[in-house]
Amino acid sequence: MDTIHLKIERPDRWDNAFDPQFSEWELDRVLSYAPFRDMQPDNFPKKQPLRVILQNDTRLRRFKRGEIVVRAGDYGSSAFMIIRGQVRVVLPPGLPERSLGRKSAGKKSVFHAIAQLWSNRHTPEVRTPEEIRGGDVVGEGTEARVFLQDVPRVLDQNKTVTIGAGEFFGEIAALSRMPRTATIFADSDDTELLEIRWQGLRDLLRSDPALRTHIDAIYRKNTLSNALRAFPLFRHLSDEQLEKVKAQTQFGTFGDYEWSGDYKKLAKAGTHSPEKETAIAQEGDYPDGVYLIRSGFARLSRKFGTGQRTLNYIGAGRWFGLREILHNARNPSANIPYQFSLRVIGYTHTLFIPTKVMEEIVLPGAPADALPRALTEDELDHDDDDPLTEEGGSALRIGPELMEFLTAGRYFNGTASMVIDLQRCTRCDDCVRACASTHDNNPRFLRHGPSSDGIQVAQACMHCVDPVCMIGCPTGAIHRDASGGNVVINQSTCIGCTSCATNCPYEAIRMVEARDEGGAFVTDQELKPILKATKCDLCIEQYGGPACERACPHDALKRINLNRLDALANWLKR
Amino acid sequence: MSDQLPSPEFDRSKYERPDDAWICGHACEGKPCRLGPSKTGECRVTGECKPQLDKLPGEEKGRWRCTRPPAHGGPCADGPRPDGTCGCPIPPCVPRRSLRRIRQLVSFIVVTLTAALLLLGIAGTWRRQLVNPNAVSRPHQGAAFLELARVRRESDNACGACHESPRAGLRSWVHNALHASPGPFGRSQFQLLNAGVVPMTQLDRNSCVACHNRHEFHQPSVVEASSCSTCHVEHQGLKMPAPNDANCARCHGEPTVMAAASIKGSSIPAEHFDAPVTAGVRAFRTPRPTGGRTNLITGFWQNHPNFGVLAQGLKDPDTLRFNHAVHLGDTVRLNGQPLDCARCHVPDATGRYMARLSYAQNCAPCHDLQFDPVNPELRVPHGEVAAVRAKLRGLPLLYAELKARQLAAAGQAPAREKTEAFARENMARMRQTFGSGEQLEKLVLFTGDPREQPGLSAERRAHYAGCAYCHEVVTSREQLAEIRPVFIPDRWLLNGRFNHAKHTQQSCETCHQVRASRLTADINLPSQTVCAACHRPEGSGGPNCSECHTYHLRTSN
Amino acid sequence: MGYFAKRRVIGVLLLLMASVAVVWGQLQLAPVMRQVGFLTGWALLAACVFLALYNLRKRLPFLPLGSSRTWLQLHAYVGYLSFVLFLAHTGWRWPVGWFDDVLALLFLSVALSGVFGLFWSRLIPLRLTARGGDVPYERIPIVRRQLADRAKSLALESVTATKTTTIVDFYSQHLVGFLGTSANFWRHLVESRAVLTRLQARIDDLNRFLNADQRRALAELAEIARQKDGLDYQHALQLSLRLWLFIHIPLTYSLVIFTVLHVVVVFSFSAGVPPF
Repeated sequence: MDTIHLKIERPDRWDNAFDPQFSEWELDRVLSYAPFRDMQPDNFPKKQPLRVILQNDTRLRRFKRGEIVVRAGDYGSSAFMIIRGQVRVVLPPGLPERSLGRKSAGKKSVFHAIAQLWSNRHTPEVRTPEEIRGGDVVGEGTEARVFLQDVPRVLDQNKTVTIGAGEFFGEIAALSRMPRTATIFADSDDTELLEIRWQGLRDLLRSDPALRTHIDAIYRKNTLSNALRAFPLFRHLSDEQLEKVKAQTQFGTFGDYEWSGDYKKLAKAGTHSPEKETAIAQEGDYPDGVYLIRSGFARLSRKFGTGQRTLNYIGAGRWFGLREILHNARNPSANIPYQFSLRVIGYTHTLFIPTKVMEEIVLPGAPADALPRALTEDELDHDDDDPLTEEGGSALRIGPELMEFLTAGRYFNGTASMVIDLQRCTRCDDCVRACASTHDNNPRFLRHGPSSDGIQVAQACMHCVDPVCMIGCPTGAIHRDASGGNVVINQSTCIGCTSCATNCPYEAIRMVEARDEGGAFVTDQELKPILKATKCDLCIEQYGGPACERACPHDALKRINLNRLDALANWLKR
Repeated sequence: MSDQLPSPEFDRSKYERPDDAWICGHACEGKPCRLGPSKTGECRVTGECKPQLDKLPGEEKGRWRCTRPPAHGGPCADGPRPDGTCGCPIPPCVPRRSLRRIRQLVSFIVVTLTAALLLLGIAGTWRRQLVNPNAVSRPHQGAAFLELARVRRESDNACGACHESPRAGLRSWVHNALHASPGPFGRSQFQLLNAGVVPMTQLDRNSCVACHNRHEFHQPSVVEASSCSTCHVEHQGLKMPAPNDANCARCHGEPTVMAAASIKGSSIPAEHFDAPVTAGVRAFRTPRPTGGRTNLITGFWQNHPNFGVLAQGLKDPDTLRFNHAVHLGDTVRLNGQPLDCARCHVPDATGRYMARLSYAQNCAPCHDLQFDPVNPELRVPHGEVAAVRAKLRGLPLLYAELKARQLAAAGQAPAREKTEAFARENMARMRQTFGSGEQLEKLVLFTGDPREQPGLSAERRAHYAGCAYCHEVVTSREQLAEIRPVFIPDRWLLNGRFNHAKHTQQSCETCHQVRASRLTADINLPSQTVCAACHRPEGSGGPNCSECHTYHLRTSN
Repeated sequence: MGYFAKRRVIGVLLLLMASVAVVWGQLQLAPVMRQVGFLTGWALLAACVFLALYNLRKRLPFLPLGSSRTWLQLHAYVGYLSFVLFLAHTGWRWPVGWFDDVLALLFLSVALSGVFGLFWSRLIPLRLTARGGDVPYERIPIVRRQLADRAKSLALESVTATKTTTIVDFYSQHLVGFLGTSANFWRHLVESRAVLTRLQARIDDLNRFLNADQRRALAELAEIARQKDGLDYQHALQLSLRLWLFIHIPLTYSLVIFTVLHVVVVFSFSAGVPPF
C-alpha cells in the first residue's frame, strides 16, 4: 500500500479539554465546594481521577442578570452547578421562542449549496487536516450569548423558581439525552456556574453515590412539579394538592442505561422475547398505581396463547394503569386488575403515583378531556382476536407481524427512521446518490437492513429519542444539534474510538477511514488508519430536509417518527 | 413455511457508493480491495498493508510489522517479507466502469454519433434530402427552377429558387432561423390567434411573389395580405393540395378581419371593387352594399348571404315587356304545343351560361311584325325605327312588289297594270281602315294594346299589335318615335360564377320560379336559400368557395 | 380513498382534461390556422424540456426543488401529454421525410421506453420483494463470492470427511460454473425456475446414494444453490431495472439534438429572412 500515508498523532479523549484555559487554582477552588470537597478521590479509578475529570470535563462560566443559561427545548449535554449567585427557572408554559433568541441550524449558503454540484470530491471520505485534528469544543456557551429583554416583565408574566448556590440543574437532560424542559436564566450579575460535560457527570456519578442522592433530592424538589404539570391530568391541581402528589410520587428506573449492548447480544442469540424483559407492571395484578413514562419506552402487551402479544409501545408523556384505576373508581363493586402488561424495553424512567393518591386527589375534579376512554367490553373480555387498546387503532392497521418486528428491533426509538416500502422501491439508489451529493460524495447510510412484510428499516441514523450512541462518546463529538435535536457527529472532535458505532443497535453509524485529497489513507504514527464515525445528519446543513426522502421517485422511502405509530400506519395505508 | 429467501446482513460493512465512476476490478470477483481505484480509474494497490519497521533501541535491522487494520482482518499470519514489502500482495486489477458510468458512456457515444451523422448530413450532398420533408409540386420542379436558383441565390440545387438557406450550411441555417420573419422569438407566429390572418412572410415576398407578380390579392379592402402558404402548402408531394373553404373562412369567418376590411373598404371608391367583365358580355352590376361584402361566412349553407341582386330587392331595368307567366301558360301555343323554358333559353357553346336571346331566334316565330291583316306576308322590319318608317312610307311599292311576286309564283308575267291596280286597291283599303299614312305609322309604332288595332283577328292581335306591344316607344324631342334600348344581361352575378351545365339534371323551374312572374322587372334568379336547399351536408354537399369564387385574379365573367 | 388512488384519479383526470383540450384545440384551430403547428410544436418542446429537467433535478438533490416523487408524477403525466401533443403536432399522421421520420422514431422510442420503464418499475419491486433475499446491486458479487467460497470449502471438506469424491464431483460438475457468475438473466426475467428445479432434481437423485453425513453436506450445498439462484434473480431483475434507462436516457439526448435542428430547419426554411 504505497502512496497513502499522512502521519499524524492519534487523537485522545482529553485532547480537547472543555476549557483548555482551566487553571489549576480554579480547579482547586472548584474542589473546595460541595459536593466535590466531600468526594473521596480514592473512589475514582486510576485512569479517571477526580481531578482530571474536573479539569477536562468542566469549566467555569460567568453570567450577567437576564442572560440565558439553557433554553427549553434545546438538547444539552452538560449539567450546571451554581457556584455563586442564583438562577431562575421559567415554569411552563415558558417564554416565547423569539425571546429565547432561537436561531436555525447553520445551513449552507445558497451558493455553497449549489457549489456542491462541482465542489464535491471524487475521492471517498476526504477529511481536511482541521477535521482530522480539530479544536472545536462542544457544549453550551460557544454560541452567541442571549439576554432576556426586560427581566422584570418576564418575572411578572411567568412563574419562575429561583435556585441558588450549590444546586445542580440540567443534569436530567444531560444524562437522559432529552431536551431541556425549562429555560433558565441568571438572576444576578456575576452569577458563576460550573458546567460539567455529561461524560464527566457520568463518571462522577459512577464513582460517587453521594452525588446521585444529592441529585435525586434536587430533582424531587425542583423538577418534579414541572414533570407532573406536563401531564394534562395534573394541571387542574392546586399547588397544595400537587405538593401532596409529589410527596407520594416514586421514581422508577428500569432497564440498563447502556441497553444497546445487551439488546444486541440477545438479538444475535435469538433469545430475545418480551417475556424476558423486565416487567414494570403485570397483567392480572392489582392496579396499585399509575405509571407515567418520563423517558424511554415500554412495551404494552397482553397474553396471547402462551406468550405475549405486543399491542403497542408507549414512550415519554404516556401513562399506564390509569384506565383500570378509573374503571375501579367508577365501579367500586367490580374491580379489575391491570388489563395489560408493561415491560421495559431499553432504559425507562417512570413516575409512579399510588392509586390512593389518584383516587383522593387527582381524579376528583379532573377535567373530562384529560381522562382516558373507559375500558370497553371488548378490552375487558380478553378476546385474543381483538387486541384493542386506546392507541390500538394504528397498531391494528400496521398488523401484528410488523408490530412485533418494530418492537423486537426497537425501532420505536427513531424519530426519523428510514423506512422503505420494498414493494415500491426499484433499488435505483437515487436516495443513496442524493445522500452522497449532499455529503461531499460520501453516502451516509446503507440502503439495506432488516425487513418485514415488505417494509425495510434501512441502516440509516434514526435520530433516536434515546440516542444510545451518545453514551460512550468520550469527547462529545456525537451530540444533539442545539435547535432541531438531530444527532450529529462533529468530525473535528471525533477520535474514531468506534464506541458510538458499537453502541448503535441499528448499525446506523459506520466508521470510515479518513483520506487526504489525493485519496491516501490518513494514518497515525503506527500506520493505523484514522477512523471517523459517520452517519446520517438528516441533511441538517441542506435546504429542504433529508435529501434521501426527497430523492425517492417512487414514494418508497420515508423518514418516519416511529415513536407514535399513526404516521407509519397512515404511510402504510397510503 | 415461507419461500422467501433471507437477506444477507451487511453490518459493519462499508457504505455502498453507487455514484462512483470506477469499481475495483476485484469487486466482480467479490473481493474489492480496501483502497479502490483512483478517480481516473487506475488501480493503485500493491498489497494489503504497508508494513511498519519496528526498531528497538540499539537494534540495527528491526522487524517489519504487518499494519493491516482489524476491520480488514488484522495483521496477517505470515507477516511482511524480509525486504519490507507486504506479504499479501494484491495483484493489480483492471478497474471497471460502474453501470452508471457505462450508461454515461453510452449516452456520450449516442450523442456523438447523432451529432456526427447530422453534421455529415448537413455538410454532405444529402443536405437537401435531409431537410426536404417531401417533393415539391410538379410546377415548382425542373430545369427552370434550377436556373432560377442559380441566378437568384447562386445555389446549385433547386431549393435555392425559393429558400435562402441551402446556399450555406448549418451556420447559415442558424443565422437564418434566428433572423427569420416571423422568427422563433416573435409573437407573430401566434398572431393568428388574434387576427385570423397569417401575414405574408419574407419567403412569400422574396420568392413567391417574385414570380407570381401579376397576381392580384383579392379585394382592395383586404387589410393584410395572407401568406401564400396559408392556402398553398408546398412540399406535399407532386400535386399541391388545393386550397379549401377553411382558407376562406380564416378571414370571412373572422369578425375582426371582416370589420377591419369593412372600414378599409369604406374609403375606397366603389368602382375599384367592380368585377372585371369580358368585352361584349352584358353584365348587370349590382351596387356595392354599404360596408362592402364583409358578412361573416363560415360555410355556404350556413351563413352565406343572399345574392346581392336579390338581397337589395333590385328590379330588372329592361324596357322589353315580357310576361313569363303568360308565355308558359296554357294560352300560348307554338305549332300547337305549349312553350317551355328551353324554347328560348338554350345553353351557349360552353354550356355554362345561357345563350343570348334574339328577336329572330326567340320572338319572331310567334311575334310576326305584320301590319296588314289582309296581306300577312308584309312585315315591318325588326330593328331601327327609321327602317320601319321607311317601309311604311313605301307602302304602295310594297303592295306592287307583293303582287309581282304572287304573279311570278303563279307563273304569270308581272304586268305593271296588274301590280299597280293591286297597289291602288290595297292603299284605298288601308286608308279606309287606318286613315292616313301617318296614322298607320303611329299605330304600328305606338300601339301596345291589340284591341286598339282595327281589323285584327283575336289570334293575330295576341301576337302583334305594334312595337309598343313589347317595347317602350317614346316620342323624341324631334317629335319622332323612338324605341328605348333593350337590355337583357348575359350575367347577373358578377362576383360568383354559376355553371348551368352542372345543373342539367334539375328542371329550370326548380330554381327559377317564373310561372308566377308577370313583369319584366321580376328578377327570376334563385335565392341563396334555394341553392342551399341542396348544397348542404345532408344534401349534395356544399359547394366549395372556389367553385363560384376566385381569390386572386377575379376572372372575367 | 388512499393517497395513491386519489393521486392517480386526480392525475388521470387532469391528463384526460389536458389531452381533450389539446385534441379539441388542435381540431378547432387546425382548419383556420395552419400555424397551429407552431403552437403544438412549442408546447411539445416545452413539455420535452420539462421532462428533461427531471434529470437536472436529480443532479441537484441539495436544493429544495420539490420532491422527486412529485417530479416523477409530473414526468409521467407530462410524458403522456407530450405523446398527445406529438400526435397533434404531426397532424395525426406519420411525418414525411427521413429527418422527421427519425425524429418521430426517436420521440416514440423515448416515450415508449419511458412507459415501459414506469410499468417495469412498478412490477419488478413486487416480484423482488415476494422472492426475498434483497441485496444491494453492487454487493451481489460479494455475496456470490461468499456463497461460492462456502460451497467450495463444503465440497472439499466432504472429501476428507467421507473419503469419497461423490459430492466434490457433483460440485465440480454442476455447481462450480453456476456459482461462479450471475446466470440465467432471461429465465429470471420471465420468472422461470427451471434451472433450480433441474438442479434440485439432480440433488434429489444424488441423495439416494449418500450416507447421512454426505446428505447433510449436500443439503447445505442445495441451500447455497437456492440462495445463489435467488441472488441471480436479484441480479437479473435489478439489472433490468437499470437497463431500460440505457435506452431512455441516451436516446433523450439524441432527441434533444434532433429537436434543436428541427426547430432551426423549420424557422430557417419556412419564413425567409428580410433583406439587410
